Amino acid sequence: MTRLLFVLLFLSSCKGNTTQIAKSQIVSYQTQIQSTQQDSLLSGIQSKIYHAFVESLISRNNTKLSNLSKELKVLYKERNQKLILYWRSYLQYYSSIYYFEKGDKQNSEKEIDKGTAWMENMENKNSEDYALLSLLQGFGIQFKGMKAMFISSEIKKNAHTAIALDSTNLRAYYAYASNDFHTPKMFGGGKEAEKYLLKAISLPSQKIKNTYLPSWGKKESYEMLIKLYIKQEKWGLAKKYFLEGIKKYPNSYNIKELASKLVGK
Amino acid sequence: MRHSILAILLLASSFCYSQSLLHGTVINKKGKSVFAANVYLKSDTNEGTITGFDGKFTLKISNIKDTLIVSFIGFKTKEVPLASVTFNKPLMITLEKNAQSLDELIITAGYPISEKFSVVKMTKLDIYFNPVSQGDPLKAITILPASTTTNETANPSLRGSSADRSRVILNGVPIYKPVRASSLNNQGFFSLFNPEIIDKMYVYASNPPLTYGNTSAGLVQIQTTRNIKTNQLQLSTSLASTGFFLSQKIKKDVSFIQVYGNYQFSDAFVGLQKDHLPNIKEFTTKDAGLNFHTKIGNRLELNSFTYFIDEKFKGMNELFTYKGDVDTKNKRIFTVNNLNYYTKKGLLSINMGANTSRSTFRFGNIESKSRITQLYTSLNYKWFALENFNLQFGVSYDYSGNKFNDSIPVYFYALSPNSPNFKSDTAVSNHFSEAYLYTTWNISKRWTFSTGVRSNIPTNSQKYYFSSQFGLKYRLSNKQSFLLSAGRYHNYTTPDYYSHAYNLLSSYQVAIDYSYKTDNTLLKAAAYFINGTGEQTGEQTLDSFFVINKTNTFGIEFFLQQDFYKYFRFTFSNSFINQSIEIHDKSYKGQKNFNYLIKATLQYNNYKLFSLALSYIGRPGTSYNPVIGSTFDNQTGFYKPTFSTNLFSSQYKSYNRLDLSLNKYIKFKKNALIAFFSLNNILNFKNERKVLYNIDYSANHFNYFQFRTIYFGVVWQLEY
Repeated sequence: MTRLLFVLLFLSSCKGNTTQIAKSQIVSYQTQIQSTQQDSLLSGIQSKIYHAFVESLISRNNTKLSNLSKELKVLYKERNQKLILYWRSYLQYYSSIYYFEKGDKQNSEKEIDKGTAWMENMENKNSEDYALLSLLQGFGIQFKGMKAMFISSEIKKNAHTAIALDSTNLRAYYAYASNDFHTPKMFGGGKEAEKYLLKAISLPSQKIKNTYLPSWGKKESYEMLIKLYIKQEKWGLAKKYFLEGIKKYPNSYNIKELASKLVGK
Repeated sequence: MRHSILAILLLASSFCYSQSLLHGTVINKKGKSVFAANVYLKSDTNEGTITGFDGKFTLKISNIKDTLIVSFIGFKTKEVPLASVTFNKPLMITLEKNAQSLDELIITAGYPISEKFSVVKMTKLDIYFNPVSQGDPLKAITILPASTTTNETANPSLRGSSADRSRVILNGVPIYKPVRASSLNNQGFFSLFNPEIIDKMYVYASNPPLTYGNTSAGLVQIQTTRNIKTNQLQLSTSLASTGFFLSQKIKKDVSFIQVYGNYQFSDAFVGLQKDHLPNIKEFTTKDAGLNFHTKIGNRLELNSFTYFIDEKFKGMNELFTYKGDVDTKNKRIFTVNNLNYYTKKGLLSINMGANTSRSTFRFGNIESKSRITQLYTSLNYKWFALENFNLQFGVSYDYSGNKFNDSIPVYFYALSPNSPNFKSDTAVSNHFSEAYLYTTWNISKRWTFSTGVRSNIPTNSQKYYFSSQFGLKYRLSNKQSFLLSAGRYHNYTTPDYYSHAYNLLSSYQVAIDYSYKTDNTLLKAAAYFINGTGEQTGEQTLDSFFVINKTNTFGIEFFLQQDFYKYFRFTFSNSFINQSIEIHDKSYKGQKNFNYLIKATLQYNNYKLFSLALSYIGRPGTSYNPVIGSTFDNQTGFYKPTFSTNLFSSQYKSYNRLDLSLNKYIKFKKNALIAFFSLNNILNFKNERKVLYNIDYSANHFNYFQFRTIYFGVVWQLEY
């Protein structure tokens, strides 16, 4: 029952992941005349992946994700565009979370490793590619046991490169912060997450709206920032960013969930 | 009439409408279509579209005085005034890649141009978690199959070559004799480097890049850290040392300083295990280091590292038939300074180093005092010329001056304090300038090629030499790669007690390295051949009697690293080395002639509980030249040994050693405590180090490497 509630709340918050982009920060096209690909698989792909993930979670069956993965595979074979490989890797991230939620850590690791390898081997990576690679590596690090400490510096290097390539890419800052947040203090973690998350939430999800390109990261940055302040017992700041976050993403289950930790503080 | 006007207006509007539809294609400089690029109008960014897979787009234009903007990640945004566009023809827009930003350049330039061609890259954490390093950067290398160090020192010997043929480079400056107490009694268990200041360390087992000179074997390249995240104070105490380390930011993200100091003493360490340390009476070492880093503006960066060490050692030593006290003292200070300037397309760097030391060695009737002065300067430019082609070039100047004030035994076998000796004062110096060029070319996704040339700029009687090398890396798949490398190299020997000269050496090297890497498995294999010769007076001075003219080394290496059950790691390596040496045109078996050189480690590493490592090394003993008889010398009262004419025909017994190390990390808020314990040579193997004789050489016995010893201590860290 709890799981079902979680999933439903997750589903309700999923809209925020892709469509709740602050209007003041981006420009949306009112006119998109051409493009035979307007209704193609890649249009709004981020949202499609997320919905497939949520539906897979609800049904406890990954057919939706797996079908989408197959479609992307076919499209990639046909078009050989690295952007398609980006979305295939992004899908692997959710596929890994799906297995993780199911308690199947072995497949979860396999899925994230596959996405990571694709991104690692992608040529001429841009800022978005490095940010995703860093995110995937950051999630995969939990399976790596003693190797985690060695991978950590590699992840930071990738996130750092993502920032260097585009200093206005919020996902680069989020990926950097995410890794720092999850790195044990012993290995130098937890020192820079705040700075990078504050930077991430100050940036637009996309400078020009483009349904083929990624827009994730802002909502996640709010969640992580609030968690960080809760961890550090900085209650005033935790509340401030909770209110700001929930205002921007009222359907976010993960942000809402943090309210219980702030009551009475 | 009204109908006519309406018809004209309709026609006009339809004409206008057809004029406002813009068709175009977005491509990159290589002519490949750019998918998902944004195409929109400057006056109203809401009016826009996205390119399709073929890079094509169609956009309705209402104002031909507007400007079209085309953008995509990683490309320069392009503006096209619509007034210049012919609407009835498809528009072709070419996007150019973004110029490398300064931040990106700083990241890229931070890595050596030859990075892809190094055999191993280690970070600070790799050093700490290395099962054999004992926290020492150069000792960490000994886990590699390519490490053929046989005397338990930290001074790296790579692929069978003598340590003096390889070089250790710190921030672009060579550090000669990079170990502590590296005097005649050949201790040097630890290096001069503190892992806390290290960012990355690269090991080139053979065929090193010619961005550095004065090596004819391998190269270890160390780079100090370029930023610190928090201020940290570290206090440590152990069975034989006490020390501190301070990392302090001076200006956030701009400058920082690292200061450390240690005092090492022997009382507890030796007192607790006197029987297992028969050759050590007492030692004290004081050392201090200072590392300063600052940025001046966006493009200029300065790093300065200075290190001082004062060592005193008293122990027992044996040579031939004499056994007596040995006393060594050494004071050394060196500084390494770097100035980096980032240009639009590269990095201009000036590296400067200075080193001075005074040391004394006393044993029997031998007294050796030496003063060393070294200076080094290099000017380098790393140029990221094209996306897949990089170039580095520069010049270097290296000066060394050695002054020896020695009391030398008249008869090499008569070493008692009363035996005759003679005074010899020698001053030698060497200076050489070199110029080099090194390039790397990423030919395709699978192939990378590098080549380098380096030559001296001879002065006076100096011999001209020219070094050259190439490397070809082939990625068979994402997991497997091959590296073929070959080259001719030159270096000068470092003068010592036996040879007060800078001899020019050279080598031909060829190697093939294979690597297979998955998440849990790392497999490496290599085959190499190294031909080392002396360009002038011989290849290597072995001791008072022999000068090796030529060394041929053929080796095969295998290394496996396997991670399992999340926290366990197992490594196993084996090397086969066939080495022959040439003395006076006759060939003999080399000292490092090993049918096997096995290294194995088992690690359990769970930072929440503890870290434990067991490491084993086993190999045949090295070869030595036996004494086969003696004659009594009335003049000295000592027997004079007669050596076998079949040189290096004897061999020490096989060498075995098993070590254990245990670490526990405890964190509480901003404090951390690290407790460490190590048990070396657990099974107390008696590993023969040096052959010794009774008074008339009728019987022999041996001096041994380290017996079983324990060591433990704690480190307290505070972050603030």
